[in-house]
Amino acid sequence: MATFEQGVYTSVHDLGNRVRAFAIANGWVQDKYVAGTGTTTPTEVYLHNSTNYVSLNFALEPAAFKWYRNDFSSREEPILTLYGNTGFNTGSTVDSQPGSYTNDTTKLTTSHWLLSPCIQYYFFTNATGDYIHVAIETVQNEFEFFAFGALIKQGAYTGGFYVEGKHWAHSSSWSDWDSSGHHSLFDAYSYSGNNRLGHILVNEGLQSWYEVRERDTPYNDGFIIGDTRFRALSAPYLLEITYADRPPLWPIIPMYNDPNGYTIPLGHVPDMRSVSIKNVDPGAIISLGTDEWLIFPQAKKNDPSIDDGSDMNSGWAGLAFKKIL
Amino acid sequence: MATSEGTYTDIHDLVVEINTFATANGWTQDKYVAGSGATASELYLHNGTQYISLAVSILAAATRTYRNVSQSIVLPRLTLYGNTGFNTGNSVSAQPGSCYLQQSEAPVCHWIFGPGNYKFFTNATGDYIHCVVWMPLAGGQNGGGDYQHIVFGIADRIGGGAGGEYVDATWWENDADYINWEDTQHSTIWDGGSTNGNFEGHIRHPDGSGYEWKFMTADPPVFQDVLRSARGGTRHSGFYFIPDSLAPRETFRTTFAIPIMFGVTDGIYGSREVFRPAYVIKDAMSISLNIIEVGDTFNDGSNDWQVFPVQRKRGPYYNDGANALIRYAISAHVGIAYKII
Repeated sequence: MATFEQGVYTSVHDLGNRVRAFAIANGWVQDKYVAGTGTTTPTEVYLHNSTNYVSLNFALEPAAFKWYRNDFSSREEPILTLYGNTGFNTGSTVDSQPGSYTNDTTKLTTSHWLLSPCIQYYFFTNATGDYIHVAIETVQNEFEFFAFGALIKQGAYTGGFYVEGKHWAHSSSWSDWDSSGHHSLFDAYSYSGNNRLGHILVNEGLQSWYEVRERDTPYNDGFIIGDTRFRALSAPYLLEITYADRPPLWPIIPMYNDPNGYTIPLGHVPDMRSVSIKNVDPGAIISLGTDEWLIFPQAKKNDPSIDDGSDMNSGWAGLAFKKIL
Repeated sequence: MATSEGTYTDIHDLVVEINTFATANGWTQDKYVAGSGATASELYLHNGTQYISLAVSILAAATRTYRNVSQSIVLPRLTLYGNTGFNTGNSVSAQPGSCYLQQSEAPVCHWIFGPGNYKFFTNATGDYIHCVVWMPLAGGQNGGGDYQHIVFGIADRIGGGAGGEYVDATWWENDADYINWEDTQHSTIWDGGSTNGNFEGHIRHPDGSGYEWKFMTADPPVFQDVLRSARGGTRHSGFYFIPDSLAPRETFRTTFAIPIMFGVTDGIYGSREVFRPAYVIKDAMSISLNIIEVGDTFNDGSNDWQVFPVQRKRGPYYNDGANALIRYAISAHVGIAYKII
């Protein structure tokens, strides 16, 4: 059971099959698998690990007018929708499994433009398969991400299971690294009105699943505040690297707004960090002791001062994934 | 002797106790001027690159607002200055490299009535002196039930280099804001929620742009530019390192102690001011007191820590009533944990 894998997928369906195989090899149980094809049938993958259930829908959506790279044209869209659940029922659809977050929210967790063949994909997990983290260089220097797994919890509560997907806006804001219209993993600046957000299970308070997004006003209605983008130091990923040999890797700590108005940390995301990539290149490896961390831009590394609509730009906002061999 | 606990008779005596503790833990007394009543006591100390001067006095009774009541009352007060040297001929506020000479402000702690109790903390090398002062509840004493903090020392510098010397003291508003634990006019120690502009603590950052001594203040800034301030600390948790909230932090049935960090400006990118982490306060953490009591200790696996409110554990939902004349401070669950060494 390899806890790290990299390679090239040939279609969004092939990607689904590879994620499935990787998860199973690392302790996840397959509840159901539907092999899809083309634009007609999505690939469906149903998995669980302990009490964490996920259903994944890998689809090649038929041609329709959509924004891609600031261009509104008719095109097919390879897209993954991740659903977090608390159980499995073979007779229920991918989006209506027992305890699905769709019971609590209409916002979906997705990762789109999973173009094929990709340049390279990277799968990450740990020895006990607590999470599956995926980074994909879809086209040169552009990255997509999705993730599901168990937070390392702070305190005792029921839940901590997360499903996350990066969903970058491809309209004119695609070059705007600080647009709230994007959703990056565990994003603290993703507009609450976005239709694409992450979700975390917290079985306390008002509901079961909460959206991962920005702080809002009023902010006492119970949701998760993400932790990348505008978090520590306003934006840690923008930091100059003034350290001797490496940028700091910031733990990602989602926070829950409880019904009393308290903002409390839920724990931290295992083996994933927020990082400035100003002075490191995508794909670089940062060594911390015996650990190795792979560094990626949140979308595409570019100068954050440039916002002329000409290119995808996530500034120096980066994500680091621990490579466990 | 890394901690000391005892009683003081009045604020002048408190200075004597601080002097005794500091000089027993690596600090050198440069000068001491004994005072009483309205005549100021002055104390000048240094340890390595740290130089501080402080002055205390008890101003005569006059009409002042205390606990939301206008009344004739004395005003015991302490002012603390961070310096970079000592000159016996200069006044307490005009020492070499004084924060006051740059910012025209210095941290002030007021309403420290006597008699009272103190507890002092330091480490083996006396890198800091952290003082907690509280006054008894018995007999309706002025200040009874309130906790105040006076701290000076040197923070750990992230990434190496000079700087990190800090001076700070509790400033708690005494008008109607008294009961508002999240009011930005308070300046608790290492406060990331203060926009007071007068009594914030200072931290020294000699290699950056702008002022060498920087206010430890709120984020976002209301009145100060980035060159004049450092962001972070308690309450707001400043630069959002860990919880982004005024609220005391706790997780589900677990208290969560958070390092107290400060950032300094790194520049402006696009429309955003960017701060980078620069300093971490030694042996003190921000903590929620919701499920632990004032004075309790907890163990982090290797050290005991003792917790105190930033002013008075009370609320946050407590209401004295609209017609209450005397109001007591509410600092909710916002607390400081000090390491016992």
